[in-house]
Amino acid sequence: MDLTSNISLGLATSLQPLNLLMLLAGTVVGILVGALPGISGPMVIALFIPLSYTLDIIPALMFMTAVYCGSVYGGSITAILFKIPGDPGNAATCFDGYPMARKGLGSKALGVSAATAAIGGLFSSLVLLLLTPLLANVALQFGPAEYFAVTLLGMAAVTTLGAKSQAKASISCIVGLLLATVGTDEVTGAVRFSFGSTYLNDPIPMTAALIGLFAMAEVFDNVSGTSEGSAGLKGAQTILPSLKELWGLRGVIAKSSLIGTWIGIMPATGATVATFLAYAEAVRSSKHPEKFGTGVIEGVVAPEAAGNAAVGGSYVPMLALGIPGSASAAIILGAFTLHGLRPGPLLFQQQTKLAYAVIMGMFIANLMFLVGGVLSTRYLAKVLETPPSLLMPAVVMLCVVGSYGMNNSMADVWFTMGLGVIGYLLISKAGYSVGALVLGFVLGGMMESNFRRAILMEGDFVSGILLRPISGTLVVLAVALALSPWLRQVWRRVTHAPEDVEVAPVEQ
Amino acid sequence: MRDRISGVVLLAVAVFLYTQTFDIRTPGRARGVGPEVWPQMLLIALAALSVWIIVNSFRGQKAKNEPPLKLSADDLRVGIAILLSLLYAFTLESVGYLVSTAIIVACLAALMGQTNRVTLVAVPVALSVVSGMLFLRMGVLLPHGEGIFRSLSVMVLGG
Repeated sequence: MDLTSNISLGLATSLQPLNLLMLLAGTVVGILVGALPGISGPMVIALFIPLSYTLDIIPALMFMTAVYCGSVYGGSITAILFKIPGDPGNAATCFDGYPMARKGLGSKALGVSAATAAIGGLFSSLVLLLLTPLLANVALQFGPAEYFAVTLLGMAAVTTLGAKSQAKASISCIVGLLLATVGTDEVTGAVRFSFGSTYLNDPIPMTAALIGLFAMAEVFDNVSGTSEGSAGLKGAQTILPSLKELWGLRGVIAKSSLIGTWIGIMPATGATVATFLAYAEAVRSSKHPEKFGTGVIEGVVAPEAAGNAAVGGSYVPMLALGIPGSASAAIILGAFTLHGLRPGPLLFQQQTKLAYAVIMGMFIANLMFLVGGVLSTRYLAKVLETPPSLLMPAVVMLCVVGSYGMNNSMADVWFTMGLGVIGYLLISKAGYSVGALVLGFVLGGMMESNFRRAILMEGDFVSGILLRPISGTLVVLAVALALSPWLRQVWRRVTHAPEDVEVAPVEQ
Repeated sequence: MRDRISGVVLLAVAVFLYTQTFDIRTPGRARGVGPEVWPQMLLIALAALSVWIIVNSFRGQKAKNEPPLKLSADDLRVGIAILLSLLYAFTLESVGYLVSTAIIVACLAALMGQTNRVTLVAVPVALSVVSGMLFLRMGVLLPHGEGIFRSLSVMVLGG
């Protein structure tokens, strides 16, 4: 089938009543959880995985995609009105969004945020639609060596780009990879790190692990910094900008959408990195950089367009190669595997309807949150008044039900609790990266099996991986990327150039 | 200080797990890379990076100016929240979903600063009952508990 037929098929599928309903529900939930500080999109997507098992895969993916899109946008509402980013990806929106609100331009900031987030999201959906099938066709030529090398490049990217500490991000990634080795080795049947427990004879259940690392860890984090809700949203509304106003911002929108899509495509970097890079670029290229931080509209446009563009971007490697472009995409990848599907090049051949339905669903979700954003702002006030002291215990309850309900197994609950504590200590207290850890865990099995198969086919690492043109190039790129911070330092010393000034802290 | 502690803990874990890889037995004869090689590679990298973190924690201005690590009231609250969550998991099968959820949700809400007594009773009970009914209808086989807890749970939530 050609692209037009595939688009029609995808559109018809995503417009089916149940799928449309799931997109709508996902958008509403996404905006809500995005706006609620302490509850993030990945957390809710992780909690939804067990429930997705009771649904068909397409409606489940529609819901998760819409939650992802809505949550990245929804965080801007609290970022603009209260200087509290509902989602880490909206932290950069606070810089100018909040000063705008203080000047009495809150409604305008909210409108520009909704419109440009939707434009960024639609742009990246278009890239997703056009680029993913091409990338998938290239990936059909890939063997184990190439898959191993692509995964390695992803790991190098997540530990280098946007990470506060490369060493800590690398450790997080390795911890994730190690968690994926627990249980029976699928190649030889050998049992690894079971310590005599029958629970550990099987691999760590993905759902329980994701709920623990995202939801439980975040609850503990919220307990440590308890703040009693927010107030003051009364009277706020979203006023969309005119086309003329948007045309005047076309440069920032285009650049930020491109940055967001590109960063989204890089494995596991996600919206947060994209928003800060787009903001930094908007400051750099502005004629009045000194005005940023005082409430300029470009300071809202850049992070919002980039943040939502990163969502579509993160789906490109996930659908084409089976490698997620962000933490949320990694969790959604987990949902694919639970339903017995493996995203990758064959998805477009064997599951054409599903692949294009997801892509077209993303287009619709971006339009939905634009409408939802305009309509929902005033109603959000009520929900935002729910104090964390009631919200967080309810999340603990959902974590337990979510992990128990998957297999009706207490072992899964213990995994959730254990990984929640590990996640909290490593990530919140010691500054390690949850994105890198999850990427390592989700891709660990695939990376190891491809590594071993590549060596088994050719006999050793050099001829099995390094001497093959694609995998060899990718491994060299991965090493270069991993070494790039050191190489930059050496270059600065040689040329006596000044150190980079950090624009803002970036949390993945 | 936190970096130093996390580095030491991760190094200890890496060394311990490395010793465990010697016990990985392959049933039959393995071809190619054995099942112990990949974890060993990862553990060597983990150990090296942990040493890097430890060494770095002693270097630079940050190490000199770092205040001593003290347990704050927040840490204590998190510790209690973790214990409550573990208690929830521990009592789920014996006490049942209905009662354990209501108690733990109330305790966590109080821990996080909720002081209104009516809210502290009404919300956890309502949450436990409504979510229990909902999840049971959705096919999640929530534990009813044992003895009197089971009777109560079956009566409220249904079979």
